Amino acid sequence: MSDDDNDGPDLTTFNLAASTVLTLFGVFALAFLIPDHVPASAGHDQGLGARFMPTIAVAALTLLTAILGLNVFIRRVRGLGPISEDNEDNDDQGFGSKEAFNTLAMLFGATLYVGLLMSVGFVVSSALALAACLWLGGLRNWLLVAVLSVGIPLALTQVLWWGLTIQLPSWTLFE
Amino acid sequence: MEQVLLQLAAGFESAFTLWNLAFITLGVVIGIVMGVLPGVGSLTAIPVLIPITFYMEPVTALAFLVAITKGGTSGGAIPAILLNAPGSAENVATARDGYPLAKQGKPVKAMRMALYSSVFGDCASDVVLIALAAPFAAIALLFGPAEITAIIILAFTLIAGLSGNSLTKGLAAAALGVFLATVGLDPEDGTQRMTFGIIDLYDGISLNAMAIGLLALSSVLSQLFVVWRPVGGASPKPVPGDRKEQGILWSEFRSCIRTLFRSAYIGTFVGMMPGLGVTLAGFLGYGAAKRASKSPEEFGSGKLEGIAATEAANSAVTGANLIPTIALGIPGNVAAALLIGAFIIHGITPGPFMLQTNGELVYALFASMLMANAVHLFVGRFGIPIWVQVTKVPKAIILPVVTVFCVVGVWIPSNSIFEIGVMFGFAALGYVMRKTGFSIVSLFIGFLLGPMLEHTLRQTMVLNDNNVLVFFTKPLALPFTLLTMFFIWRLGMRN
Repeated sequence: MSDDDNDGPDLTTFNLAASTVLTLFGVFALAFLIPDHVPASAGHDQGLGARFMPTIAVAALTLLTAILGLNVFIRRVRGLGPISEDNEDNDDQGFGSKEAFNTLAMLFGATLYVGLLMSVGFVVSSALALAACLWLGGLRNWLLVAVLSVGIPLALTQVLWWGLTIQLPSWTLFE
Repeated sequence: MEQVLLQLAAGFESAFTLWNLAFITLGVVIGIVMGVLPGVGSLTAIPVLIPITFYMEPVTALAFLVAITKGGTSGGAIPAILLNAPGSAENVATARDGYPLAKQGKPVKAMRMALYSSVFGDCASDVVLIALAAPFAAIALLFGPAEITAIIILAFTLIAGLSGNSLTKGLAAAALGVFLATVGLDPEDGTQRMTFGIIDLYDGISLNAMAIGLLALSSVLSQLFVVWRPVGGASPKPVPGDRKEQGILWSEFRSCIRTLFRSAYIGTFVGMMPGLGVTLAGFLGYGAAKRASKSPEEFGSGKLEGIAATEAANSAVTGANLIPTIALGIPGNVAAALLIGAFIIHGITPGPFMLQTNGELVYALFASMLMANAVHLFVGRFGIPIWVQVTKVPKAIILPVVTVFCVVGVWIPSNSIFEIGVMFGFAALGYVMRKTGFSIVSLFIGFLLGPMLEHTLRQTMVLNDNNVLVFFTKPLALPFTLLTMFFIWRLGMRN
């Protein structure tokens, strides 16, 4: 269900992949996730217990993603053109190797950051993350990078502690 | 009407405090600054700042958030005018006439017109909100669970169909949102659903972590990847202008009044409809002004009317989208959805009973919105030199700093590193969704309205012996069901 008139990268392959992954997830959720992790409620003989809404939501998700995949299949059979779409934020559309790398880099960076947050606290982890982001963003003035990356987390820590008595994650390595 | 005015006067009495005024001013300033930064926008600021509002009185908190929204809309016009780089999609049409006017050496004139039009649209929309909220809520009180369920499904359909190009993907995102909302305690049985023994999930997935990750951080990281891989091409520089030509003459403003009223009407109507969105309002306002103009060929070459039409229309959405929020508890767009989150966090349940249970607060919010318009005009007008400077701050500095603020925003209410991880997870999901045409707004609104949908759908089924035909047999539910079917057919065919 896509507009043929849109200019933009082809999302056909991605739609097919998304459809496959989400449909499989839906089947997995209906067959294992919900039965194993949502208890069947006692006293609900009409099937309106705790499993009611998750089942309906996943069933709808499975059906819709199956339709998405079917649509790609029908377009290919009919020899229709590529699928291109836009969204509410006017972001550049298209998911290729660059976007996949970005997503993995984001997850890796987030894991590293959260790991550091747990061990060395907010100031050090945020200072390192900020310095890396500023340098990657093209800022090559090392004094400015140092001032911003250390100053902002330190200032936030002090403002939140003295203003709202909120303590950001602190250095726990040697506690 | 007299009753409404009396309640509004009482609202002013409780809202007109120095503290409230200070936070409204701060909200407008933050909104404009965030709006000025292309690609950041007020929608990034609101989820990050909602946790700060935990420490405020509910009126102050909500007024602060509404002020950010109001400031953000006009703030986005500034880079559109100066750099031909709209702060957000809703200001794209502003650039069509704003940038040519700036190139003619009249950037301040264009910015002033954008501000005045924005405040005009805001005021008109707020008046409609104040006049219609109570009657709409009274009508909504007639609705039972079947009607509310039918309305929620209609809202999902509209938002899914209109926020992206694919209805199927939009509805799938909404279904995923509803599914994610079921994680945690079952509201009726009290049993744990899909918590996997993780204590942090016992209360469900955090709305705050999801909002910040999905709406703010995913947008910031998406921008960061662009900054890291510059596409090339230098940004155009603002053009210095002659001071004498920067003012707006009364005759110039008067010639735009008809356009302002038309656009305010369009924006208000669009704002009342779930899912239609601010961007559409801006383009509809611009298009209507061009069609109605005696000299349509001048549009796009620096015509003040073009700026007025767009800014009045997109700003008029802000107030009007609170009508379905207050009357039904269903957000008109993502900004209203975030406000619903803020209402819930402050212990207020949006919906038809809101005016009965929290009437004083609602009218204090209305009064605060009108106060925010006055503050917006004042701050926006005298802050123009500052906003111009803000456009010069490189994204490479702003975006990493906002990322740290996102982390702090999640930590403040939760003190949980797990939730920070959840935020990053949703940021990655949001990034993929942005790149692949899955609607983030649908997912978020599905998550937000999921518990309400579950509650009303269960009630409907229990009361009607699991008979799904009730949506066709109840006279008040039938129109919404038929509208949903019509939109599925219409939007499905369009897509």
